[in-house]
Amino acid sequence: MNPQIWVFVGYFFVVFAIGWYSLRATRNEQDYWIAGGNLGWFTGGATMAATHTSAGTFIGTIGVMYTAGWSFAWVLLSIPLSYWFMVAVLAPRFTKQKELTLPAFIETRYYGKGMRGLAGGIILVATVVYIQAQIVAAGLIAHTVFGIPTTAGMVGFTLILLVYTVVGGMIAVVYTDAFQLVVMSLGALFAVPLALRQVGGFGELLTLVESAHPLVFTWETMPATLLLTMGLSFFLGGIATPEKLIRLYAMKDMATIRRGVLFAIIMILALNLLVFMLALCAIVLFPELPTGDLAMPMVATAVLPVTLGAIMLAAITAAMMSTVDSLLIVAGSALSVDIYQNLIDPDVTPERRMWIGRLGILVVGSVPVILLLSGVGEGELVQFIVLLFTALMAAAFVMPVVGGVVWRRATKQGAAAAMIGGVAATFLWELFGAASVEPVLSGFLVSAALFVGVSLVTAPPPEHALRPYFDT
Amino acid sequence: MGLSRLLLAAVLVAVAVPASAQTSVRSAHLYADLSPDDGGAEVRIEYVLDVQGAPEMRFELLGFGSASAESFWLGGQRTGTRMQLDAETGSMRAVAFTLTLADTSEPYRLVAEYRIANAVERDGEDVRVRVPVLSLGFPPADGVSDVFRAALEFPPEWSISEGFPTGLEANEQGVYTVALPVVPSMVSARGRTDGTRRPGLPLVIDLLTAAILLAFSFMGWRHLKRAAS
Repeated sequence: MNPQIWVFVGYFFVVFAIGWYSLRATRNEQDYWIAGGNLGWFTGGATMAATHTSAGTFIGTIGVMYTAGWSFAWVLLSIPLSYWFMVAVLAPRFTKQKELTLPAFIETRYYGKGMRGLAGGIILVATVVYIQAQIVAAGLIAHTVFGIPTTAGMVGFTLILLVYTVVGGMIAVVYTDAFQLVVMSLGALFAVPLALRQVGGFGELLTLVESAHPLVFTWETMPATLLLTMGLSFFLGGIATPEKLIRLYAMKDMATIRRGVLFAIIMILALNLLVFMLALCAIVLFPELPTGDLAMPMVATAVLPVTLGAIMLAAITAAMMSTVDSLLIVAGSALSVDIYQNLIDPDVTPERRMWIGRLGILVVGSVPVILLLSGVGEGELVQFIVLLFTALMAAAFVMPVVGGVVWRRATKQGAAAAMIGGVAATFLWELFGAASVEPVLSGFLVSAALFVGVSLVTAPPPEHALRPYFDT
Repeated sequence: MGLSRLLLAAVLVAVAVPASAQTSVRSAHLYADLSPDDGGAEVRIEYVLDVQGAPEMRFELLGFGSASAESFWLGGQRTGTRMQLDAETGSMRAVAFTLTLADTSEPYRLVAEYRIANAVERDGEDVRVRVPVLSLGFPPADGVSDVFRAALEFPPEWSISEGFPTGLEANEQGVYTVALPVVPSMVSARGRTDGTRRPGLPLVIDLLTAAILLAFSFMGWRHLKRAAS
């Protein structure tokens, strides 16, 4: 058998073992959804970094860097800024009362079950969009490694992912995330010196890059408005995506959150720097790739030695799994707790609720691959699908979450208008707006205007809604 | 994803693939003879293209270190036309010409030969070989795997321990071959001229990686076992 296949088999064996042990460690609902709310800084930070460093980084980011050069690299500097904002401004207030899900926070702060259902519905729709990006990337890798058709790779990847997420819940997710972060870091760390060795060192690399792609170190490959709004998208999306917010609940206290987020920032920046170096190497070594999304799979198969190359591809798959499993957990909880229990059967038992969550994970995880097999979303650059998801999350949740814990006057009606208006404006801009401006700008501006405007003209929130998040 | 975004994606892809996106490479087979004593390499590359229209061809070649192209014949050294590769930015050398074909329904076969000076660098008994690949800037054809195949012939007494692309291995005739889904900008190899075999860096890194991952897996397994009990 091909050694690459052995490495993949070994890798997935480890992942399933983690899922099995996690199932044994899951004793109640809190364990299943937020890993008991007792994570340390390493596991908490690692799961945050692994969730962030998804196929968006190892397939999408390197793909855009390969195509457009360093101008896109500057956009990524908005990421640590968003994490700093999260830990300095948001987390101390947001975690004063621990919930199981983001929509549960929305219900508490905005005093309405309908609000919770609305948030759950938005999460379900946006999750489908994001998982599509990961599944497309997985199909490309499966094609590169195993030579199987891309569609077969997409289906296989989805099946593996669904099995261990459904079985193990959040405990499985955080421990596989920590393992996957080690794998990703190791792969990228060894890949850079090996690739540099092929081109003759860093100085030679810079000369060759300018020879092969003279626009790499210029600002001419992407419009300034697009770069700025992409930066805004990463910043706002970094603050308000549910799978990151829920990790604040999963860590045990504020001191742990601070250390964990700092660890996540360092890991994310380091991995992005390594990815940029690999993009430059790919420009020189593979100048004729049909799409930038193939840059990393080619580096892994043609530059790295066989075992490390397979591990690197497993790491990319791991990165995708880290993101998708986290989103599936969020989507499952949105369906079982925020929609089913909240709106359909308030007296549901915890056991039944957990099984409905598992069913929700199965459904939400299957829809993207069915859409892709039907031709919806096929052939998109991965980074652009990621950006659409980020824009949707930012437009829907930044104002209700951040505004909800820093502004007492924020009302239920204001938050509902912000969520619906923000998502609608994002979709409309995506369909009809200028390509040189990211849809997050219109989505966020509409959301912010509605949040403030509607809150000011409606009755102030009741005291019980403010008590968990504000002093007196 | 909106129409405008698709257009932007198309523009971005066009930046990376400047030539016509319609003509594509069905196969590119390279043969390099590295036996000349002067450290040079005689290279022959045969492209089979799916041509659309009358595309402007542009042969490009990057120079790696001191390895650079000396002369270039389109159609073969004995029968073809000698052409000049012009220096461009940095170490890029290129020549452009337009291909006019009466019938573009059949795959088009194109042969080029060139000589690389200083393809072989020696340091005592250690040897490093770099052969820049003449490329056309066209993407690989859809549905074709391993578009690029290379065959490198070294002096018989040499032993090769590593190469780029990964997977460079000797066949029964002692010729080293490798295949890849896209055309790379070079093929390279490292080895010894006295025939002694030493483990290359890739093998060392492979072993190191395996050791680190096994250690982490063991630690994680113990941690999870404690958590489960």
